[in-house]
Amino acid sequence: MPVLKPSMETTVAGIHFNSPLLNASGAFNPHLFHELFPLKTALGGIVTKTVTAQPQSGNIQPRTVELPGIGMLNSIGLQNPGLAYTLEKDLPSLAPYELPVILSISAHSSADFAKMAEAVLTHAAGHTIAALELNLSCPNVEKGGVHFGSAADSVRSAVSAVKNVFSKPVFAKLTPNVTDIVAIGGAALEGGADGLTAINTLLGVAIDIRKRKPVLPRVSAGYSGPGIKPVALHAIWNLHKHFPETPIIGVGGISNANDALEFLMAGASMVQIGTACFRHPTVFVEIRQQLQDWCESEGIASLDELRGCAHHA
Amino acid sequence: MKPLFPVKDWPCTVIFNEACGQALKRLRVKPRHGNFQCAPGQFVMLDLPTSGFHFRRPFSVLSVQEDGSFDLYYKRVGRGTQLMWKLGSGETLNILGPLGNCFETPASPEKTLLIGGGIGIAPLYHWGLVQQTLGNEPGSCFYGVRSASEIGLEDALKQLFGDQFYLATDDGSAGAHGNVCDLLMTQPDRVKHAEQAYVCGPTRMMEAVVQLLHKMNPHLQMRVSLEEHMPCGTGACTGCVVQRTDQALPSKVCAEGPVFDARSIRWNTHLPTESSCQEVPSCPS
Repeated sequence: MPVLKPSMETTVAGIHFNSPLLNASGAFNPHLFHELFPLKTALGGIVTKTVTAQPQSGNIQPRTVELPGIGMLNSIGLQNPGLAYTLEKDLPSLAPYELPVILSISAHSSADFAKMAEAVLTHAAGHTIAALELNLSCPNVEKGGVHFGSAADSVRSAVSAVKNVFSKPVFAKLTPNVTDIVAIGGAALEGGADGLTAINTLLGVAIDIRKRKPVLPRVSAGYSGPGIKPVALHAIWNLHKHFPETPIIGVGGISNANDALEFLMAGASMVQIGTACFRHPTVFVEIRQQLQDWCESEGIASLDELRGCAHHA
Repeated sequence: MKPLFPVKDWPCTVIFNEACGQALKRLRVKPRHGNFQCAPGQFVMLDLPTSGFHFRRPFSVLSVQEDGSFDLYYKRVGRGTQLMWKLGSGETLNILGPLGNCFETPASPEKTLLIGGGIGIAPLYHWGLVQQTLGNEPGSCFYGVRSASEIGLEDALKQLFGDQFYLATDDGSAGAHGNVCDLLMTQPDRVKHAEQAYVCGPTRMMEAVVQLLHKMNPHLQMRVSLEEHMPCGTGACTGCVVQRTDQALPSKVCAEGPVFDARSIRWNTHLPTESSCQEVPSCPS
């Protein structure tokens, strides 16, 4: 029996979303497109570009390399105007969309993460956000500069520090550049994370064969795009297997409805789209429609039915 | 910042894609629905079919016709423009735009110096066309290319700017022998009496022009349109930035530009663009 109108709505960590699609941090500018397509039905919510406590200038150029067919490298260096500006200017500008906003924050110590969370919660605009996403890609100065996301104790302490002061949901964005992502995900949950976002970019390098040197000045960069999809699915599969009740926001190389369905079936509750919206900024509209059509043809009433279904096949 | 015109991903049909010089073509496309509108200096992002690319390619708009079609002027330099080169009339492609800011219409348009290098002439020609439509004198155009085979739009430029069109070639095969700076130095009165200069071309050419014009006329308002590789073109990724003297953080070329106050650019940190796409260089076709 075909379902007349499958529901694309979902509730994750207590937040209601009209669509299971989010943009990945730093990949989408909603302001340019508000006349272009119905944001409110295509996007479930908006994830902001990562903000740090103070303004950050980012890395020298070039900052990106395109890798045709497999994705891209980025070495932006978290350029952002700082938390105060984001609270005063950026967050209020998102209010007219009436979508849940997930503020992505990053810091160099657990104490700084906590200070940022506190500042967000006590600010009028900050108070309107639905959740925080912790970008754990910075070095942790309290632990000798080891990247936050690669050490379980750093992740646990960062999440816990934020949760102690921040009453709304907190998602920990996990890096795939670790030996055991389940151990890191477990540490985030021990720290009190309400959900996991997986995965951040892989590490990658590109060499300019003409110049015989790395393309990017900082050599290492974040690899994203279709090439990382199987890696992301592997991470989500294992995280869902170990933490079946934990909401997971899947991200990594999704460019169509087929990809999104794979993530949901592997255990994700929602997905984020990043690299694909560079080429197709309207991709959310198409994917949402395709998901709805697919569910209708398969007789699925709600996407929630699909979550993790591949584990039980 | 609110876009100047509504931004859309326009499904377009190629009207023509005709050669107009060595490795140069003029591409005319028409949106399948609606009329494309943009201001001179704005750009579009081309989604090249079957490219395997993850980024679109940015191009300044050369002209917009009354029937809603618009033209791009490009040089075949990399894989993207090689794919463009093969586009035939009737083929379709998606074009996102118009994006970025523009070259404004000043109080005295006739006192404008338009200084172009290579395909950087496109937004300046567009600006001239718009002035003509408004009934204004389109200023003086100084154009530098490497050789006669690369002039491309010579007839159109002569028609638009008349005796205010000045041409230089590096090899002396057409116009004055030398670069566009040499050309400007032959017209000191024109530079001295100008109120604004709009510049677009290779980065090092723009830097040299700006330095020269500053010496020749310190009060001249100077605006440059920067060329950058743009992963998104929409202000999302912060991949295309330029350091400026009046801004603490680097500015996004796609969203805050591409047109900037020339004196605010930290030229020593702004590198000429190279291919952003990792590939084995292909044989010239």
